Amino acid sequence: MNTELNEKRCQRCGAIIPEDAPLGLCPKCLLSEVAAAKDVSDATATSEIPSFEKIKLAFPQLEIIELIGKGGMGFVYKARQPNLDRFVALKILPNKLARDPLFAERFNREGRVLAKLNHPNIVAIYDFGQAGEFYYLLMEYVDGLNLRQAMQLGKFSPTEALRIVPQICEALQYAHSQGILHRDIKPENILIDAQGNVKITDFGIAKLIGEHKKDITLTGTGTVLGTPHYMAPEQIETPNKVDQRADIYSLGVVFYEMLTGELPLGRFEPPSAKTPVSKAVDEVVFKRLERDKEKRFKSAQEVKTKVEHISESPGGESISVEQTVTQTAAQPQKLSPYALWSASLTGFGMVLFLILFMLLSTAMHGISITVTLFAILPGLLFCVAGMILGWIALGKMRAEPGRWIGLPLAVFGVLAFPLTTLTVVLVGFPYMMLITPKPSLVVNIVALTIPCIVLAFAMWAVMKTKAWAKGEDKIPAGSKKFIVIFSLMVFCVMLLMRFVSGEKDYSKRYSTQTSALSGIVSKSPIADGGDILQEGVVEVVGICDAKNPNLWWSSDGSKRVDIDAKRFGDQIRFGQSAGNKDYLILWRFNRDEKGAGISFVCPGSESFGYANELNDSNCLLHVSYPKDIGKAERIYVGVADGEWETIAEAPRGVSASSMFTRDGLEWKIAFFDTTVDINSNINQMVSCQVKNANLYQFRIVGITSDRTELMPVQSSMSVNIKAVFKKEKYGEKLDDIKKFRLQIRKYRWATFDVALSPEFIKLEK
Amino acid sequence: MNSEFSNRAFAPTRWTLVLRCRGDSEEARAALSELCSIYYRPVFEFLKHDCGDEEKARELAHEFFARILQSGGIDNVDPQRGRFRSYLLGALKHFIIERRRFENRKKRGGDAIIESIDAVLETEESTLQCQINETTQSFTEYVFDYNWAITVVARALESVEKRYREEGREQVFETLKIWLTGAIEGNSQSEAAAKLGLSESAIKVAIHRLRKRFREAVKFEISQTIPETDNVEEELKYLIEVLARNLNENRNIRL
Repeated sequence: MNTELNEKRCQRCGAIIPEDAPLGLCPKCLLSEVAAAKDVSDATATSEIPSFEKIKLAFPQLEIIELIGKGGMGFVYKARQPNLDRFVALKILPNKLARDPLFAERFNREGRVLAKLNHPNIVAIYDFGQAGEFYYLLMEYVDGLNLRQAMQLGKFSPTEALRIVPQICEALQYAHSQGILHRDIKPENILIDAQGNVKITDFGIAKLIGEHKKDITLTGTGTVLGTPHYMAPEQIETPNKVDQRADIYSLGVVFYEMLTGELPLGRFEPPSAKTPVSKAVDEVVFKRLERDKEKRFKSAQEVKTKVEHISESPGGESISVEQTVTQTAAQPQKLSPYALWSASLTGFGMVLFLILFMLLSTAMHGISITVTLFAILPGLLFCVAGMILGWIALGKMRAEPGRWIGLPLAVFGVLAFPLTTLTVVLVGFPYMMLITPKPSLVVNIVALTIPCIVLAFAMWAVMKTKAWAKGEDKIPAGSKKFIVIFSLMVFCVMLLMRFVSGEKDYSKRYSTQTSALSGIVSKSPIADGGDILQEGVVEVVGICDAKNPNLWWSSDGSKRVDIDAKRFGDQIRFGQSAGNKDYLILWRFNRDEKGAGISFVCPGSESFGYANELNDSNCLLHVSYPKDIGKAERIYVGVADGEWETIAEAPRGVSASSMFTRDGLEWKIAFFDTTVDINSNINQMVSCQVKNANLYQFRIVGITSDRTELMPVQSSMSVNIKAVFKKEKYGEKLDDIKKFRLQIRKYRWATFDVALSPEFIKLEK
Repeated sequence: MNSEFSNRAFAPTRWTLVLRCRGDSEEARAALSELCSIYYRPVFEFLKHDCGDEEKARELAHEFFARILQSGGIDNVDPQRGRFRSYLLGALKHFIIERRRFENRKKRGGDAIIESIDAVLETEESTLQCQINETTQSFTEYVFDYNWAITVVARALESVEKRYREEGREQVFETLKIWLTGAIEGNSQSEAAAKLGLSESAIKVAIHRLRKRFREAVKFEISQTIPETDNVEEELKYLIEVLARNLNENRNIRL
């Protein structure tokens, strides 16, 4: 009759749906469903079920409507409270319990606690007690179905499961906070009302009725009790010692079942292998199903946060999530090539930067900006390429969650360069500016706060980027807390270190152009053991701002016009150092010996240098102070004259070393090989290590066979003193040098407090 | 519903009423009349298939029901065993035979003798039995049973739909009715949820409720046609078997 074309087949049984089928639904399947459905009340009646009449008699205040459930925990009737005009669920506890003499007491105690539970996701208990032969609980009636029935109606979509679990968690968290464990979380105890709200029932009933094991023996009539599949291992082993983590385990089983339709038995597969959910879900499920409760989530709140996190991921609409995850599930995880390349390029670029920077810094003077820019260009290009590839990698990870691994690589590729640059710009440069010999409190705090803020920002950027790539919009609150606390800790540690270390000896940070051995000290050489110079040997002729070397001032505040600093020629650096205050001070030495040693110690200065003018016994000092210099700076002027003392000697051409104590100091002297250079000059190098070397003037002399002392041209570099005996000066005599001596004499010091203000110069001896 | 108390919820079913009063009371007459109008379709289809003419079948059906209601006599049916379906089919078969005999007599020029249908059913050894084989169901009888089952389903669906309409929730019924045939892969609950603006869990509850209503409706319909003591499940099982022998496929084989 029917042409094949018009045939409509039933999706369920595959039979042709007859034309006259009501509403076009397969009538056979309709009726089959009716026959298959298991009404609670259709269950085979057992002798356990109390008679309807008895119940009615025991509860005259209620209109008992029907039996809606039965299980190990008793029977549940739908009833109506006519006076309140509301439906209630009447739970009759198994009557065998009444035989337990301890039950009545426990029931009263526990019931009171349970009745206090008041939460939208927990079925409320209105009343409890004993009526006739029955122990009963009068509960809120939930017009819906339980999770078991809901699961039978079709597997839960991951989105739906992720929506239900947080509600359960909320209820559990609330109950746990009240000190109540459920102890029997299973699909049958999780109800869903007509609005889709979750309500947990039978809270604490397991404990009320007794421990599970005991319960089984008590009622052992074949009625199935809370199935052990949902029970945490420790709940079976040591039922008295369970805590909220047992409920969390049970919830894990329920969650797994909701997602996969199976129980997690034996070596179960991760949910993502069975249903389109992300790996993040696996993690949450596994962490709940940990056999060791220590490894489980600590609280329901934690589970909730985790689950909401997953479901809040962008594209939270079920369809897109499912689609993307389906792809994921189908394909194995791979290392993202973009991420790999990104990290490699950025890493290479930054190493290149570092190498070029080091090369440049060794020869920083005299290199133009153009050359510098050109030198950093390759590194820059690599880093930018790495960044672009990194973003591509992150984008792909976000689009296909779970498909790609290598997130840390991509994050490194993207962020390493900008964050480093940011750190240099925001921390490095200002820090250089801020570090001064006498930083104020504000400067201190700014100098410490900026790095901490940058650190916090860098950590935030890393976490945010990671979260973005994972498809999450927010970074976890815990991480935010961590960032804040960590940054604050770093700040405190840095502040503490600053206070402990006290004022920094900044001068030591900068190289000086002065002759060595005199060195730069912060302390007074007199305090170090130097002798005091008698008055009148040193006096200040004048002082001027190095910016303007023609405007000189004398110590009484008057202008000096007779000073020509230019005559010191190129030995002295004129002009201003960047960010500093530079001064020139002209000294006069009134002494007999022409070869007297002169030394300066300028605490607090960044650098200083001086030039001697032997004939006039004048000396020009150039000293550079940081900008925020105090009112007056102390300068020590040392003069060494008188007898030289030999402290060590060595035969020519022999390396020799010696160690001894003198003036309470440890001396380490080493004579190097004697060498002859291309001009036939004889070079002798001696290294002298001693504390407070700046207290002494050093010299090397060559001794000939007739005990004549030959004087070299001397220069110092760090602890090494180099003596060059000039051929042109001594001629053949040089060959006669038999040995070299290292001689010293002490400086004697004069102290000056110099107010380095050209407008008001006050020089004091 | 547990047999212990479930039936309390209902008034005596129509067929119970008819049987109890043996058709004597006004109430019983009304109930019978109602039942007849409900199950008009299987009778009509049976007749249509038997005589092959729709117009004639309608005429005959009219006549058949008129006679049943007129006689009102159900005295001969054992309330412990008889179901309305069996009763009606028996009466129908008898009516057909009577009719044929009458036609033949007419052809031979004889007068029509109207006999009680019930009388025939009463006499097991009736000669008519030879013509209608009770043990092997003829296709015509199958048509009757099939249409009966369809009627039950349609009635149940109608009543459920009506209930939803009264509640102003036709859309819920329209959207969810496909789940009445069971959980089918491919029917997306999330789509339905989106369409109705409910959450997925709420949809599950709604489907559950719809099924429960349908279940109750079917059981109610069936219970109206069987004696109080009979098991609804048995009749339901029989109707499923009838529907399982797909009518179309049967037809294709036979015709």
